[in-house]
Amino acid sequence: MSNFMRTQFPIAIFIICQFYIFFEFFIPIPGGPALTSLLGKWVVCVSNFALLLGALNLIRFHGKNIVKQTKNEWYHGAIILVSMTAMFVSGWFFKPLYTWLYANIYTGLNTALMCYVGFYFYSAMYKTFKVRNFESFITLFACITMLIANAPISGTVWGLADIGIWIANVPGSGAWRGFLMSAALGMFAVAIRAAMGLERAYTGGSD
Amino acid sequence: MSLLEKIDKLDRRIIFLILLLLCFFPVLMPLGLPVPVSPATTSAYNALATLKPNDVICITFDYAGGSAAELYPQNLVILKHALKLNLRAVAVSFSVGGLELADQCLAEAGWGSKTYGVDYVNLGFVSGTETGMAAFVKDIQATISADARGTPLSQIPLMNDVKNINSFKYLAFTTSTSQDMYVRQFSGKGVPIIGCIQSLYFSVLQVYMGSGQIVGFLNGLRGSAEYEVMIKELGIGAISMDQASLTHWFAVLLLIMGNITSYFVRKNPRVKGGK
Repeated sequence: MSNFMRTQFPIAIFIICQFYIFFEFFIPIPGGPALTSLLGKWVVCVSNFALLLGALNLIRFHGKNIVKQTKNEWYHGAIILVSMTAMFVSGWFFKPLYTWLYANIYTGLNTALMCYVGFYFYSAMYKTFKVRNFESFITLFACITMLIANAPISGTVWGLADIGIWIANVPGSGAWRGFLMSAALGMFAVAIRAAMGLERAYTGGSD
Repeated sequence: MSLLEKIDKLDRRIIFLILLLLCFFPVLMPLGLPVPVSPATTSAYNALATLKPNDVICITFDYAGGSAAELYPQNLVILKHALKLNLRAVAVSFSVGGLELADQCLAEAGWGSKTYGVDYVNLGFVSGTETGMAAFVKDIQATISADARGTPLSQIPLMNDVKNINSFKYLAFTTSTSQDMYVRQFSGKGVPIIGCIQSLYFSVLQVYMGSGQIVGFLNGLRGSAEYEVMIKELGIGAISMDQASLTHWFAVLLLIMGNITSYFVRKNPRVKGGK
């Protein structure tokens, strides 16, 4: 594939679409909203293809591991492919089986994994969350007050939950607003970089 | 080894065991600890309670099994409330895992007694995350061609009244990830927005509620328990509140105890590693 088709052409499409959607938001263009809606629909279609591509990539990667009998990896690949096939076939042909697998195997395993992490949180709180300087004291204080505020019973004792709620509402919200604004400015900067063709990761470039 | 050192080097398995007991004990012997209702939950409740029968609401199911323990009860209690109020419901998922959960939740909330396609519908999965949401907001029929059962939207009577986000009188987004994109795409369109989130994101939603971009939110399992108390239908949320109170206070105890013992151990010159 030529360099033009591989890098310049996708960047050109990207810049045209980006500018169009950006200006259509601020300047009324006859038929503009319809075209924007159509572009949005195309993105949804492309996303569906991306999912398919992801599934094919998964099959290719793990299939290779199984064929090559890669040490300590091939059986993981086999479990993934068997699970994937089971969900795909049941979802396509035996809907009740799919629903049962989803509710009783997938959801259960997923929840168990989260619970497992939860237990380690508790252990980490005891073993590692130590005050060593002023900053860590502030973090610990905020953590304890938020835990107290989030415990339902704390709300029944006057003032007990209020410190945590105040921390969440005032310094917490303020910090988050600042973070959101800086993130938005960062996104804008990235958009400008992309419009100038400087962000090229999606074309296979290094940045 | 002194007692202080023993406590400082407490085996993590003991912590696990105590935590396990604190989780199981209230289920076997409910303590009935009180659950005060927060302003965020009250606002979320009021937004739904003020709707008229036959109004259409939308609920998103954007999570999978891992977060279901916290988020599923929230969807369940909102759908139970909506059913009581004779509303019509549209479920949609912007995350792959949510499609099945929506079906399960609608059935568990009792929507099976209503007519599918007339009173409620599951639109299934919309890919593209934020772009998918943006397309959904503008034109639902153009974004989704068929519901989760494969029926074309043109053949679903309920969808005759649903064209875009303004067709809804209430929209509750449920997510285990970033809430920002939901607020960006759904708020400011004249539809009351409710957030159903994990407790982890409590502070984030406070910001959006303070700015008026969302009307209210349910704060994790506690939010669903509060909502259950408000609609007088106690469920898994309320049952779990004894656990929440005990385990949260256990965490506080661990943090305080861990720091006190560690401080004295570090100060004691006889202890290895002490000053």
